[in-house]
Amino acid sequence: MAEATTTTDSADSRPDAGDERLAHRGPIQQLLTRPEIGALIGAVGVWLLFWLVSAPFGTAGGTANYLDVAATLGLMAVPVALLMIGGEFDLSSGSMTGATAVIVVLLSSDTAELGGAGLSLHLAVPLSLAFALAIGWFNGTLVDKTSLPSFIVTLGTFFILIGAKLGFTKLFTNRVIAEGLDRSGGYEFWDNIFGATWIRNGHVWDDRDWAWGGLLIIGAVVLVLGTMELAYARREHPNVGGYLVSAIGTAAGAIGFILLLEQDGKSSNWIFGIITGAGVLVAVAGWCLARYQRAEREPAQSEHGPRVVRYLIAGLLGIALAIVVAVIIDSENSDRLDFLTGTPGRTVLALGIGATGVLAVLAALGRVSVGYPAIGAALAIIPAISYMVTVQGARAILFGVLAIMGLVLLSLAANRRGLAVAFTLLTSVGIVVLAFFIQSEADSRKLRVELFTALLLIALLLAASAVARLIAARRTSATPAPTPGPLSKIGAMIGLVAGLAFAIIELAQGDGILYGIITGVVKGGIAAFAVYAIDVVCRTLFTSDDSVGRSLVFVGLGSVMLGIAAKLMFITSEELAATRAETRFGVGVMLFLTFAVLGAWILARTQFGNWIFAVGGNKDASRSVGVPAARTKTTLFMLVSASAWITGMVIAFRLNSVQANVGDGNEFRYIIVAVVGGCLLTGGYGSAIGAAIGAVIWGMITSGIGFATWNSDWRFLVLGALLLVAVLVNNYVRSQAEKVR
Amino acid sequence: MKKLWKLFALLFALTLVAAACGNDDDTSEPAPSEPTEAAVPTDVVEVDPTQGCDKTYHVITHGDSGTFWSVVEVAVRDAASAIGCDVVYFGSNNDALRQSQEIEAAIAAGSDGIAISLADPTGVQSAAEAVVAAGIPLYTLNSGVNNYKDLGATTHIGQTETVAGNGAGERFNALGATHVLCARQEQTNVALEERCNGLAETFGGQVTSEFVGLDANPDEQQNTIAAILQGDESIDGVLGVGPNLPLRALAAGEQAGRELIIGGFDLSSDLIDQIEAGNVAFTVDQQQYLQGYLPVILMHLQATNLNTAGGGLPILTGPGFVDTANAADVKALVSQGTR
Amino acid sequence: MAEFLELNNISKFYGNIIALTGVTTTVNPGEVTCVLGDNGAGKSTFIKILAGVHQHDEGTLLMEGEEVRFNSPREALARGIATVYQDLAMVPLMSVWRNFFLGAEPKTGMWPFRQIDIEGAKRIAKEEMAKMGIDIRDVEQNVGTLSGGERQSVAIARASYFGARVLILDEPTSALGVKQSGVVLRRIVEARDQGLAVIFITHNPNHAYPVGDRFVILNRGVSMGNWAKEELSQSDLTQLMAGGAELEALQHELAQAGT
Repeated sequence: MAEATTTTDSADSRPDAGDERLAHRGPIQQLLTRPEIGALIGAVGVWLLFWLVSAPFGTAGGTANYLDVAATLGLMAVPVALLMIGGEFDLSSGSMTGATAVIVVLLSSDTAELGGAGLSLHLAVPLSLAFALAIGWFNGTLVDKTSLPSFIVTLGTFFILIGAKLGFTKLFTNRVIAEGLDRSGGYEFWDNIFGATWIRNGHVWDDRDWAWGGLLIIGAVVLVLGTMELAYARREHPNVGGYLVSAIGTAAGAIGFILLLEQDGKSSNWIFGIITGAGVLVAVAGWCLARYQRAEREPAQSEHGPRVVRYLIAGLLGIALAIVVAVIIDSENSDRLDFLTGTPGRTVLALGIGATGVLAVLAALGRVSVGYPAIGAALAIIPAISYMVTVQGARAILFGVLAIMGLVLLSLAANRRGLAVAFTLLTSVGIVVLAFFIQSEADSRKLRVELFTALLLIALLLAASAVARLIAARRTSATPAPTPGPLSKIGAMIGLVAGLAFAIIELAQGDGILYGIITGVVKGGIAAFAVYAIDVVCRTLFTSDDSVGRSLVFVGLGSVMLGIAAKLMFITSEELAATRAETRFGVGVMLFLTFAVLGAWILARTQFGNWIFAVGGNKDASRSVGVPAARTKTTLFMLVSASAWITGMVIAFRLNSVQANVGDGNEFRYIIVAVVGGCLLTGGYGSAIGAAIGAVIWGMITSGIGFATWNSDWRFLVLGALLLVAVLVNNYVRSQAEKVR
Repeated sequence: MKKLWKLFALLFALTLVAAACGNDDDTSEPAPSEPTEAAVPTDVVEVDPTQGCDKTYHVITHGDSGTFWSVVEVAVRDAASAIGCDVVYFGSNNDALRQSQEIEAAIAAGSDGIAISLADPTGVQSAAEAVVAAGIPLYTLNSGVNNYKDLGATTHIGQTETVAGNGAGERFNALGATHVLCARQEQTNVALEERCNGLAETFGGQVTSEFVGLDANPDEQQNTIAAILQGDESIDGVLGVGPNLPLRALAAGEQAGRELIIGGFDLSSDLIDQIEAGNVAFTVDQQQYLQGYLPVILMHLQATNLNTAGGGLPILTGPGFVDTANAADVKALVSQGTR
Repeated sequence: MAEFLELNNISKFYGNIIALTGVTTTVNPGEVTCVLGDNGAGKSTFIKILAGVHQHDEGTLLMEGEEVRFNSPREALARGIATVYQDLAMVPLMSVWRNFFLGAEPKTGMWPFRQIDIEGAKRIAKEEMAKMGIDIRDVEQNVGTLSGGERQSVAIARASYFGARVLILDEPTSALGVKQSGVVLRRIVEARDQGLAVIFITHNPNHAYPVGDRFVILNRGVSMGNWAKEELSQSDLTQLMAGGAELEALQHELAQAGT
């Protein structure tokens, strides 16, 4: 997501000297034109759905579970996305993961007993990497030299790998499973690297909730400040009075919040809640007065009048219905909603299928709009879904659909100029009502506490944005680049030194090489980030530098992520007593996250990334300007097979025995996940972060269905529907955002 | 235009891949529904003809090259050397058409006995009827217990999945489980469903039958089982209907912090290790060696001595069980490739 | 004094097919040399020889008095000869600044963290295009959303920024409307005024005459001649281009048919 904020518009040094032909796109609009937006929205939606339905899904253990599924997928999906952006496919990527695993086991396992080659792992592991790279090189070179479509070439490799895996495994071991990795020489060393698992149940930190809550709040505040910096035009001389108002508002908000936490009683909750909210709004207003130019009144656009009213009414109706549904959700209950086995359900199903057919024919004849068959299909799908999900699942889906629909309609209404502020305020009032209704009426404790808080925060944010919009003038030009302050450089040094130190400490404690390195990098990164954050905040407060918006967004996002990480990586003694499940993160998860960040960085920031886009978008053009197209593509193929090697090692060291068909068929998943993440099948466009998010969606669905005790027979139906929705949302949002442009 | 063509070509390629992937399952012996392009012709078992047997028998199955069928193949080979005759083994890799063609070829070659598996009874029906019409003794093995009589086969040598499931259910009863998760590694495999249904028939408690991910994705299997365990606290037993799933269930139980009674189907040496260590309670063994060995012997006896076995009833080869009591003995046999 | 770039009797054969014979002309900084010809006249062979894609079989190519022969596009580029191809100049899904610097991205930072100097690249792209009089709205915009004329403009600005001394433009106006063609012609003049030697390939004499200083006309692989602007009028040019005599005959025919 940090990636999204790095692509800003023209580099103009004066804040108001923008090009008047170009409506300045604020940070939100920029995010909406990113390829991964559909996946992002989908991920949030899927998470919310399973969080509402299942008790263990939202816990650290649940997160570890679906991240683990996502990791083996995402480790491949990220490089495959890069390859797809580069305009090629690798159908051998799935069986390649299994092939490297099989090779390592066959090379290393005992000769006499298990039929292996009996090599030391110190030799076998690098050999398998060499094999993977060779296959990648072979794929790339063949595609380049013959100009054949890559899916034909790699289809060949795919079959060869499948055949070779099976053939050699049977030849050596007489069976289809290669076994006995854990009895090979050098196992300890390599298991430390590829088989490392960190069970977080041992890491008890009772103040965790304060830490992550605080980080989340600070992060959100900084994020809002940064977004405002990006969206509104700065005054040349700040208004000190405004700062004063802002300070008073902040103080009131903070005191109100503390009292809210201390007190327990319905009326006092109300009073302090209002004080907090009002304090925040005053703080925002003061900040805007102090810092940004005054807004001019936006002219009302009367031609949208009736539609706005319709949106408004429909939106409020959606919210109201969502309230009703939310009230009856009870995540402790896992009754099955079985609508399909009864006659009414089957009737609806039959009617739906019939209607789909008839409407499709009519649509084909041009009698009705193409959208109508979808209504029939929806009718048919309802009983099908009802059979799969629990009662609570159906309610959660309904709640989500209604609430999102309501909010989207309200925001559409709010986007009409002139009325924006009023409607945004109205929406936030609506959300507050929703929140309190849920709190007083809902059956589920989770909804009463967590959803309630989240809704209040959303309402507060919306109200604050309305206030800010009322006061401050929108920017017409973009922010120039942030120039890193001296502290940032010092921060980088501190990070480097701290990282090394932590790594050495971990190594000395004998926790394994990779663990040491990763912990070192992470801790060093956190140290550097802290210094950087201080630097950014100082620059915001004490200089008239106009470039801090993006730095603030970056810091805000970083804090939020650190907060979430703290919640996932530590456990409180209370939770420890309550839970039996282990929160365990395999090395795959760490590698997966690293890959995602690295992939995003490569694509957005490096020359190689530029070349990937270029060879995928127009190979001849890029070649004619001096891009080594063949080398770029071959490197991409080798990147994919090297990742397949890493994935294969993770699998091999986890299982110690590998069946010959491991990984076969997964190449689809990689491609699908990359497409969900916003990659075009035709190349030249896409995102690594998107692919990673797509993998997480896949993981959440496969695990979530288990957590929610839904019937797995319908798993692919959900998966397919959600993937389709993600892609459609992607398309729709992007076309809307491009229109604004 | 070019891009459109590319897309079509891609779709075509993906379909090919799909077709190839659909059937690469190594553990289930009964047939998944689709045929594949890549039938694997398996070795012809040649036996020294100098021993003086002038008969030739054919064993033509839908089998693939997985663990399960490789044991059958070894059994066929062992039986052939025991009787000293030529026995041709062919596995069609779930392709009913190839299987039919091989059967017809065997008739044409003047076979003295043909044993076939009926994974797709309608697909090989005409070929099987031709065998009987040609007066050649016909036996069915592995799958086909419901159809062998109609086709005129002498008898059927195999295990019914339901009976195997029943056996597993009784084991779980004896072990004191109350709620068993029947974890499947394939979503649309009738045989695996039958095992779970058989479990539900005899097991006294509750049975939840779920697909938990393909064998190609072991990590997904483990995490899905863990998720189901955490979603339903009452589950205290897992039956994996393949040789890999019990191992995944073991790891998942650890992950979810649960003590489980775990049962499995079929054998692998890792699984036997875990049974020996007491982590997995048992595995159902259908003793497929018998399914390769017995038909050859029976065909030979019918061809040379006019014996007909079975008395019109199928000969069941299972369920046999491997548990702590016999794990060590079976282990040695598994590495020989006969169990 | 030696000419900057001098072509003497350049010929090219593909087997026994004569692709180009006897092309002689000169190209100088601050001048536009127009190469005119109908389809199949040998214009693309001419470009490819200068761009280093093909090598000439006969004749001499002199650059600043020294005989040269380009064995690859890279060699030509290194000599300062930049070619803007009509259709394959740009990657449509990439932004203007990324296209501008494609293949020669400015970099910053130490090795493992070496990355593109994005801010610098954006700034330079905007400045360079402003220098050429191109007012691009937003360098972050995808090239695919630009008009044909704007795309050519970006390509010309790119070539001139990367030290081109000779700019070859392959049919830059052929796919454009009247107004867009005007934009591109203005770019050509601006490039010339910046001291570049421009070779402008076109089949439209109306586009060539206003901007050209020197004209080479090709017909079926044969050079019809090499003229300075003073030596011929626009109608001469049109006539020559259409193959002179042929056009006259056609005019007669049409006139007779009319009566």
